[in-house]
Amino acid sequence: MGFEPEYDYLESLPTYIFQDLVERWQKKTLELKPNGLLSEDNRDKVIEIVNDLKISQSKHLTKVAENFDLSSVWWQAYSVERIKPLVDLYNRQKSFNVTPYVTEEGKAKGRITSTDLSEQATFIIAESSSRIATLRKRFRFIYFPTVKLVLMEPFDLCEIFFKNEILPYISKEDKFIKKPIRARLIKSFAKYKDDPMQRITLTDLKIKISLETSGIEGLNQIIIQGDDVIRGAETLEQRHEISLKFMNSGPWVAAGTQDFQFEVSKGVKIHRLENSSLKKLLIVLSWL
Amino acid sequence: MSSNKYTGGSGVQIMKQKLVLKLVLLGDPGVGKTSLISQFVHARFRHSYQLTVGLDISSKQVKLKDGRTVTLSINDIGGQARFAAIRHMFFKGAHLAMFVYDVTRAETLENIMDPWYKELMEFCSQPDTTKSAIKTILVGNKSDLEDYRMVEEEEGNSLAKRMGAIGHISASAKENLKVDDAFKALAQSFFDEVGK
Repeated sequence: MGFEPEYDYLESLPTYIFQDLVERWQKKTLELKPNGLLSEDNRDKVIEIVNDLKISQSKHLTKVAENFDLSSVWWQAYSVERIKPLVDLYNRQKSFNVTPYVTEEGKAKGRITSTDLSEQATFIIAESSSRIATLRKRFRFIYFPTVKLVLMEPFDLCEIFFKNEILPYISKEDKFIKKPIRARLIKSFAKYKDDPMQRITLTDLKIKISLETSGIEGLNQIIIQGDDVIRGAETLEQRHEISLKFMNSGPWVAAGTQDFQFEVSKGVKIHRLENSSLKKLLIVLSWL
Repeated sequence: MSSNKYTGGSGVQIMKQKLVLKLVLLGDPGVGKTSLISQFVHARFRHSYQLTVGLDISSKQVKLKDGRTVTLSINDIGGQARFAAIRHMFFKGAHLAMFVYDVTRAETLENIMDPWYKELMEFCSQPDTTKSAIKTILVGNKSDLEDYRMVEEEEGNSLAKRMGAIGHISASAKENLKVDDAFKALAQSFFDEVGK
């Protein structure tokens, strides 16, 4: 259900920004007329505040992406069951003892930090600090509560930190299951076009060619690239009445957009952190 | 039960009291027809791919549920389009057909119905063939490559049902998973039918 025309500026507003707005209104930190947050008198001022909040969120995402170099990681996906409200994570003690998790001698302190990326994605960092260089580590996690999934860096210690220091605060169960990226997911991702508004435009598609799958020697993979490779390939076939049979000569093992990429046996790569790209990423993750 | 029961029925040959059934394997190039046969007959898997030129025949004895044995004459038919014109010649006298697709290539399942099943049915609809006796099974090969699987188990089951096949089996010639099961189930189904 949409808003009345006079409130249409709220239509594209993420819930958590709206909540932020309401909280500020309740705490009377906003300079508004006392007629009500959404009253006609306050309309222009609220639009201005909302736009500021959106800009500040965008800046926040850019800062997180730059500071933590998220695009360099091949994230591994894990599912968690029976999730808890995020407030438990936010209220947890920030520091923890790293010593039980490491074999090397020496003291190390751990710290958990979490921040919202969007209303459906939380970025969590677990880091250990020590005088000993080898004990200084930092691991990153992106938690998507709505699809009960966590993306984490592919290191053993990362899993240990997650299991002991993060999982108890986000799930009522102490188990998490690895969700490998498989060719079926790539196929669903590549063929996804249910909702034209949320259409995921592929810029990369990789087809695995091997002796085992196609009996072809001297060729390992075929990569097609472009602004919209599926549409491009279909149009090329139709207009030139040719057959691009190579598209089916092996399993599709990787597919990517300008914002993110999925690859069998590697994981997920996030190139860009933006609200729209996180939304689309969430669609694909929900199929895992 | 005497082996004479099968004499003449559905064209089964009896050679020195040995029952011989002709089996044809059909499916797209590279789906692993030759590998399935090699694993079943010789317990061997070749990592390198060799194109089957026209036809390869091998045989193996299979023990039936009632203890008797049957010899399968296994006809490996080249999947390339260039063999299409001669393929039907190898269908003659077939009692069993194994349709093979590659679980990592969805198109190979799509092609089972047309051309493979269609081709066999067209041949079988000729008056002098043994259509009613041909038993078929659908086999999805390369099931060991789970990460690369592009065909769901359900899709195979549903196609097998539509084809009237005795079933659908996911197998791996490389890892020798369910290969024997597929050949044996197919051979057994023939006798389950004629024994009714």
